[in-house]
Amino acid sequence: MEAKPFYSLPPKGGVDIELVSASDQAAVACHPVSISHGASEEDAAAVLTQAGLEPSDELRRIVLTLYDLFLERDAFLVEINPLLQTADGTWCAVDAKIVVDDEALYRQSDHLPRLFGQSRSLTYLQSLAFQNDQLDTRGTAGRMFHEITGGDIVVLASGGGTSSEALDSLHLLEGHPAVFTEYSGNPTGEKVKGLTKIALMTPQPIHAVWVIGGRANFTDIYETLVNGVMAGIRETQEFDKRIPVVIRRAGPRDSEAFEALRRARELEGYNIYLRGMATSVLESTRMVIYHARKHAKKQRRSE
Amino acid sequence: MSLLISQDTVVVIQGITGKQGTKICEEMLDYGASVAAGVTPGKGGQSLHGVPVYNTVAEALDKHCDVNTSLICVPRESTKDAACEAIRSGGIGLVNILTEGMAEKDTVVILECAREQNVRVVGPASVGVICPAHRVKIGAIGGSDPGVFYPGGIAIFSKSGGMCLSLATEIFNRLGFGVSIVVGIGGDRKSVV
Repeated sequence: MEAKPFYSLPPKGGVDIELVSASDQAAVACHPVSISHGASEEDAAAVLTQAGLEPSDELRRIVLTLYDLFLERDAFLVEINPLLQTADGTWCAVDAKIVVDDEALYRQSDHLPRLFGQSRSLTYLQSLAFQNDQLDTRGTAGRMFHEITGGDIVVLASGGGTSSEALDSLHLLEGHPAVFTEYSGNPTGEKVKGLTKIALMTPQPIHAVWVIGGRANFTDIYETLVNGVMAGIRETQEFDKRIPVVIRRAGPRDSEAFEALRRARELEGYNIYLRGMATSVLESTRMVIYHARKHAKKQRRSE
Repeated sequence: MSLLISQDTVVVIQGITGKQGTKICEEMLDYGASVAAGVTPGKGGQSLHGVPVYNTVAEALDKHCDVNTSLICVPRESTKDAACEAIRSGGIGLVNILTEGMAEKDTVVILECAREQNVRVVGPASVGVICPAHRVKIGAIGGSDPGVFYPGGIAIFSKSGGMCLSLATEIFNRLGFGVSIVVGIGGDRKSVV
């Protein structure tokens, strides 16, 4: 499939133009633009003519300016809706929006500080996680961070595929995540530590921490588990060591990591359960739900 | 049989002197892949794991005319230029992009450039491609232990790098099937193969 920017111009205006375009192609003028060559006067004239409008100098200027803005600001979408013409012939942009590619914020945020603050409704923990992810460019840790009301398991997942499988399994077996976040692509221990501390800041009572992932290709398991997750748990002073930490992971330096985690269990008293690839994601899900329920029960009794 | 990589695959690693590039180069060589050259602007003349480093792809191709594949391991800020340099070099038919977190506009530029030059792209955010029958791999796939991929008749394509490895080991351990090729497409919205 070709990936190209395109102009979309419905002469009658309206909302949900993508849906209108899908069901009635004639209702919306669509015109692709070569990203290598840029939008030309001919492109602007073509989309306006296709929409039944006179390609006047002013309209062509508006069309071309939109494309310049789209490129300069790494936008997914630049939209004027509606564009009105007053009785004296002046064109007015009555409303507009721009959606900027998150992945390009590293080179756009200086231009968009005010807009950024206004247009995203992140929770406090989500914004901390997002900032944590921006610490450096190595791997991701916190780009995806969800808080779910009523849950009691903090899920630190790795890798898109296993993350999806883990969520499906948790849903299937009626486990309830309080926080679901992800790290992958060999992030630094510092980033994973930060993410772990942020996830453990959830105001909801936690009954388990679940570190779930497959066999990593290149993510350093020692760095992410020991200098990351475990360091984050240690630095969270209010973390109750009786909370079960269920880990299912494998990959580079996993033996060293598991050895260090065994020591944390034996010498420091953390309630850690370690598993490798012989344990399936589904089995690990059963395990974390079992231990979470057991911890919750014990806590109720002690209260 | 693999259309993407084979025993004739000869690789140039762009960003070979970076942490990731150096590590992957060693892992590829250990597995048996042919890495003829590396490219890092300003570091031409060096050598890593016995692989000569050049300043540009053109210089590398000039000295190693059998290079037909590029692995891109450079920071995201430089990935678009590095990939387009390989695509326009005239000697490279496959570009595998490891870089994660790329702006989508940069990816679209790379894909349009590749289409114009009739060059294949796998990625961005691709963990790599492996063909166990020929002991050839590009990228980080399998890490330092790619021996967990056994030759066989099943091709795996996954956007998730972890899933590539998990699925291959799972179908071998539980069902005894090996793989003909495993391709980490990459998890970005615009990742392709």
